[in-house]
Amino acid sequence: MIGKFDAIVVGAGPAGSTAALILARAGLKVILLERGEYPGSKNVSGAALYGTRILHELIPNFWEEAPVERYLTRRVLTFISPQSSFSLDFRTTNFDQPPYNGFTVLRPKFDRWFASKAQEAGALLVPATVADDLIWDGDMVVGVRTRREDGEIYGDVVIAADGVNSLLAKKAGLRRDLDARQVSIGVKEVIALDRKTIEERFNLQGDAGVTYEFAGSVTGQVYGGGFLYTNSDSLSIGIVAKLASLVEKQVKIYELLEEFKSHPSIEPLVRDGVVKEYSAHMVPEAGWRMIPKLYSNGLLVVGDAAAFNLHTGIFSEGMNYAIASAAAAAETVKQAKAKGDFSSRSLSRYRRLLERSFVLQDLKRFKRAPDFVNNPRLQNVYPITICRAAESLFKVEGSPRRKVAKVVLGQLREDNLSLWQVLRDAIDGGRALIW
Amino acid sequence: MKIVVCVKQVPDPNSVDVDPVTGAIDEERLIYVVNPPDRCAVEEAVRIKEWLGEGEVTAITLGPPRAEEALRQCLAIGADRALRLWDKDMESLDALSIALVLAEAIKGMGYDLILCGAESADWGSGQVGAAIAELLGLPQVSVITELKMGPDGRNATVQRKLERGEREVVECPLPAVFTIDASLNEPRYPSLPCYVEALMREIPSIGLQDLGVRRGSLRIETAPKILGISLPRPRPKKVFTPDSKLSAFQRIDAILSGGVVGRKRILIEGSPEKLAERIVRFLAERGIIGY
Amino acid sequence: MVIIQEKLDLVRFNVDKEPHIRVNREACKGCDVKPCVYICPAGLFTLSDGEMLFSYEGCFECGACCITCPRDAIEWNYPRGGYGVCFRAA
Repeated sequence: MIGKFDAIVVGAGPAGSTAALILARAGLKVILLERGEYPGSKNVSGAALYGTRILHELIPNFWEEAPVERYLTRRVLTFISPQSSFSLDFRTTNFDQPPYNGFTVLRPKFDRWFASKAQEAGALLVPATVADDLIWDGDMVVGVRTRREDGEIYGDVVIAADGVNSLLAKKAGLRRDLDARQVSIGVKEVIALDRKTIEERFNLQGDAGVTYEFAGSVTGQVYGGGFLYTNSDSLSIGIVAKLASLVEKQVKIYELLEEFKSHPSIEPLVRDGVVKEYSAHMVPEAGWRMIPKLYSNGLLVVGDAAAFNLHTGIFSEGMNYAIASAAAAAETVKQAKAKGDFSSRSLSRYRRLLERSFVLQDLKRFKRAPDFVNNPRLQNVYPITICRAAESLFKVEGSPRRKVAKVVLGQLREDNLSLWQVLRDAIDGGRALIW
Repeated sequence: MKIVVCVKQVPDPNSVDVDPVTGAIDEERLIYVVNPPDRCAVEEAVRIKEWLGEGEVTAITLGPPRAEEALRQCLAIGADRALRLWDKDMESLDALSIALVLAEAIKGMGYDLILCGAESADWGSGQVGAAIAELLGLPQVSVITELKMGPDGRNATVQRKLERGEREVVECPLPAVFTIDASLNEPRYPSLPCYVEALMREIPSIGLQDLGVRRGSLRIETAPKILGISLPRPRPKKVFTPDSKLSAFQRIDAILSGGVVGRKRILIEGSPEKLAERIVRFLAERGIIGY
Repeated sequence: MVIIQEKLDLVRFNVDKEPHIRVNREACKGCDVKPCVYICPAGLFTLSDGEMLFSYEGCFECGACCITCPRDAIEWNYPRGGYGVCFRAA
């Protein structure tokens, strides 16, 4: 058996490394467990890292040493029909200076670097070791059992940062099995393309980057969307689709990805690129409603394990919530350590900290968003209607032109949409996202 | 019993992506592991120690700082000590120079048995073990698939892998150098305490000067260089039809061999020195080497 | 038609000798939906003459098969630490 620790952090993703870093800096004896060969080796995101202020506070000017790809100055939302696309394109020069608004990253590189910072702070990083179970003393979690001989590790508190499938939160009875309606699956390819080509194709300069989000017929009849992010010398392109919807429509997600890549609006962007890697991961998308119980005696749940992910169609973020929730957990543990009390009552401070931070406030504020995004018309009808309306608006064929309202109403009629329905959806959308 | 195991950190062949056009290897995507037969050598050394009930296993490597990771894997399996040798210009050393540095380090630490992997997964010259044996004046048995220690630890019976599935059993006095085939054993999955201890260990690193190796004795400039890497291209091949006058058995034999005419063989016998001389003369006569 | 194997060839897997996922053939036989065939992003579940074929070697450890199986026929776990999928760029 190995010695006792003040804190056992399970999972060296952004959440786990944040918790380990803060606790190690506070002088606690911390062990950081990772089941992959190295941190990041099992992790997949788009990956856009937003909300960099909190990371900047932990590691000042982190972008100078962290393996970030490009800072984000441009964000595009594109509606797609089989032949056309219609984009909202935002760009600003306000995001192109420190501390920046966001970066694209490649998780195996970024997570590895981040864990190394926790290690430098004094945390003991143990990779290639999977934690299978919790060790209990009565109703108190007192450690974890790893799948190695003599694999018990004891500690005052366990922080479960073990990702969307969090077996530990389940073992502790804090949450039930995942439901196919609550999660999406994402697949992604990293496509190598030289810097110059990326800058030309995406109208970028230097280290600036862009994220594209796609809605509409990207995923056919399946609920979901696509994304395309620029890295230094590669693109990240992928599809995120509702698990339940894939099952219902009996569609293979990697076939959606291929179709997406060959769409007339996408193909020119990825042309001549060499696919470097294919990957897949689940995303907890149900937001507020799927948040589990966040703590119990001697245990805290952070990051994806606690379903801290915001998906609204406009926002699609997880890493910043992972980092912020882990920081709150670490603060809670620091104080619990000072009092020598790791009971559920003492750890309940974690939830209060989260309620005061953007983590729970955002998720609560946008709690209607997951339902709104799951609206079948929003998924499969409106994006195409928008593209078609734009087409008839811009089409010049020598016949008299109609005004915009006429065009739109005509298109709605053609797509069998009643104005009443559209207004109701607009109000739903407004309540979910706007007011 | 003092056992020294020489290990090398190599890129996992699974992680090597060769650009089909330029032949360049994508270095950024390489993942380094302990050369698989070297891992078996460490495992075997630890098993010998456990079987004898005493002994000390030292893992040494010649490699850059990242090779520390490989040594930690060896410590986790059960090696008692680890030592890393490194200095500038060492990236391009050839097999003989690597052996020279390793032999110098081994000489200083005392040994009863030296184990090496039979060959590395990256360059696969298979020469380092043999060269160490030569430099230390020790007997060497290569590519072993089974190892039994004598009860007093003064000799060992080993099985060698020959071609076409044949095996040879050899008894060898110790100290000796054995090079290990990856089929010898299945390295253990380290226990948590061993693994954690290995992760926390300081690993000493020694440079050429402390080792007493003169830079001039190494072939730094003259080491073989890689000029290019290319993927195999299929060559057009004539379909072989056997001579119809042959017997059925001979025709089947001919088809199976693809019509390759048996190579001309010359069998030479004599003392090792004589044999070496004959081989060198043979190659020189045909202009393959200068003599 | 996408050849999924070509995509899997780009990924490094450190395959353990013991499978980390097991399929209960009996429970699987009675299922007429078989969502796993569609849901697995690595295409590891295939039907051959109505018989389910599964290989664990190219698994991304995402967990989707387990939560969509209507018969609880999939015994799902992570592989041993250090084994399984190992992304390098993702």
